[in-house]
Amino acid sequence: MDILLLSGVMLFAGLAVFLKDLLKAVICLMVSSIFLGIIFFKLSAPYAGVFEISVVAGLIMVLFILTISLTGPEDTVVEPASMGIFAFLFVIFSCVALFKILNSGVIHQCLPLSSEPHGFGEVLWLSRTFDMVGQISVIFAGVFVLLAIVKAGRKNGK
Amino acid sequence: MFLFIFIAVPVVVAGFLPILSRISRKFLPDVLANLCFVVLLAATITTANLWPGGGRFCHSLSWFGTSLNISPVLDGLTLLMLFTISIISLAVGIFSIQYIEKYTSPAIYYSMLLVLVASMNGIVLSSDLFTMYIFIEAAGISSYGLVALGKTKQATEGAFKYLVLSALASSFILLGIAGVFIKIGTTSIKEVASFADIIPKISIILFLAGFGLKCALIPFHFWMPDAYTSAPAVLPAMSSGLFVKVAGVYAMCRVFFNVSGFNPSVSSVMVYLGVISILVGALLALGQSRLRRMLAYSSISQVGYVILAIGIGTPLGIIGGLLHLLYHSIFKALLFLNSGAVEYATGTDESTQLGGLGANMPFTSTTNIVGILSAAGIPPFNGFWSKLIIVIALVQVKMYLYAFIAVFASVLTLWYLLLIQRRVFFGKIKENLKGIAEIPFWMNLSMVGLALACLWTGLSFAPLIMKWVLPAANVLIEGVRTSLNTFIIKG
Repeated sequence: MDILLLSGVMLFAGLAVFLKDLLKAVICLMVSSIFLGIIFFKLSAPYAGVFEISVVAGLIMVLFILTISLTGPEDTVVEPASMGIFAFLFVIFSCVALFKILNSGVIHQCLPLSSEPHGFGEVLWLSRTFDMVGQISVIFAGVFVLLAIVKAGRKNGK
Repeated sequence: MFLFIFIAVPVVVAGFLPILSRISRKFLPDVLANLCFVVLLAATITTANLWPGGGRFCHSLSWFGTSLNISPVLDGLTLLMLFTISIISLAVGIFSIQYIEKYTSPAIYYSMLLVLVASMNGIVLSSDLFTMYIFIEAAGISSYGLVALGKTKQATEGAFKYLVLSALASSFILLGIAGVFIKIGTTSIKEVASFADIIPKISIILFLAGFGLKCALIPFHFWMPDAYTSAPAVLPAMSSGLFVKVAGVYAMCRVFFNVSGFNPSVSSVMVYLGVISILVGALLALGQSRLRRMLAYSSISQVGYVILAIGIGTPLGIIGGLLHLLYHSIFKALLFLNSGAVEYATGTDESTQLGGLGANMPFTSTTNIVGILSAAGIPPFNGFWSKLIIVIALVQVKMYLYAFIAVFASVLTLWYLLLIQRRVFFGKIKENLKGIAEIPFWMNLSMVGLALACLWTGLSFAPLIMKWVLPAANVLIEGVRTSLNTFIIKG
């Protein structure tokens, strides 16, 4: 089961890098994040799992898809023939993995969120507050980098 | 001492700049960002004056009597790094006033620069390995953005290569931290240091690879030449001058001297990596015709000096290494800004297409030669003293071959940098360059300031060592002493 989940993360992350079609790449990244979220649940880190699935697989993917739909494809992307094999693997793997996960009951086993010895808020606000400052810097850096790239793109007429 | 202002002020200003740019597109971002850098420099000098000169100071932040659990920590090494960051960021900030307009909106650029500075301050002020990692990531993200501002295909490729290799380095560091956490149950530097002997070996190897990649030491250097060549000149000035030192050298020293313990194996690896980087970096720089690519290889070579000297582990070696860290930041930032000035005026940094610019660009030519003489270690410029101390430290521990390599690479440095000076600034001016004029005032001011700093820090090296370098060296020497005692007791 663990191997299956880990392989899922790796496979779909790999597909996200290699696929030329942005939309397909984003969907693969989302599936990879969902598998990672399930791994977090299995490792008794439900908060990390919830964040991974809701923010990374959910919110960020919505932003990606929104951006892709707003900018629109410049040309029709033709995937190389080898991508067909990946797509086939994608479907097979998704089916097997989902079947296994639903049958294993892992989600039900891990869902009680109060199982951690320290509350989430306690850890975040009382012991790792300095990290939050770092996280704010990370978010700022990401936003400014995106703004700079978008402005540069506009200047170049793209 | 409000240590938190070193992080909070630049982050807050960075957050407001894009909003304020709606009122004034250029003036307000220029003024506010540079004012922020001046405040940071003033705060560093004030902190140094208030600081007793030894020990470790922890400032816990509180809000109306309630602790916020934000505790930046200051010691001699942190202070030296804050000083280096403040000087270089101010110089780069002033240079950017007229330089950055052709690349992007000044507000966005300064915001990235300020976040980069805040993150580097965060790295040196944090007392926890994981917090340090988060700030390394934040600084890294700003750097990728600055590389990508180059707009060309090569710049995007350079940024991507930089991003991938930097992500690899971060993964190594994070895995190393995970190893420490699994074994010891904490990531606090102070607490981990008290269990130094049970830190997993794999974590130490991962730290070495991760920080080695950040330092761009050979064989981890692939990202640097590509990233620096196509980016705006301010990025290599910040990166080679600061980011490599903070996220690479500082973090490596902090982990190996004050956390995991400095042992003969780590010393040997640092010495080997350092000496290989010195020699190979200098040899690779020889064959380059693009200014920034050559300076990138030169940076690899110069960082090699720092790692070699600190890796010896003797007090003199550590002092020489840290002094070279400070000096290299100054003269390499100057040389990169000079290359930016040449590109700004002529549109290229390809030396074969340039020639005779000295007559038209006297300030750039003069400051460039000051940078070259400093880098090559010619007295009385700053590089001379640090290299002299490093060579004496190597001779002291009977590493004669390495001392010879250090001197030989210095001669090579003088050779390839003078070749560039001759090709670009000396001789008869090329026909297509006859209309070239000197660069604008603020760019010149920044370069002249750094050139004067090269001279001043060279002439007053003794007080500089006493005030800034010795307290920093003492932190690392203390780490070596603790490790040696443990080693003797165990052995």
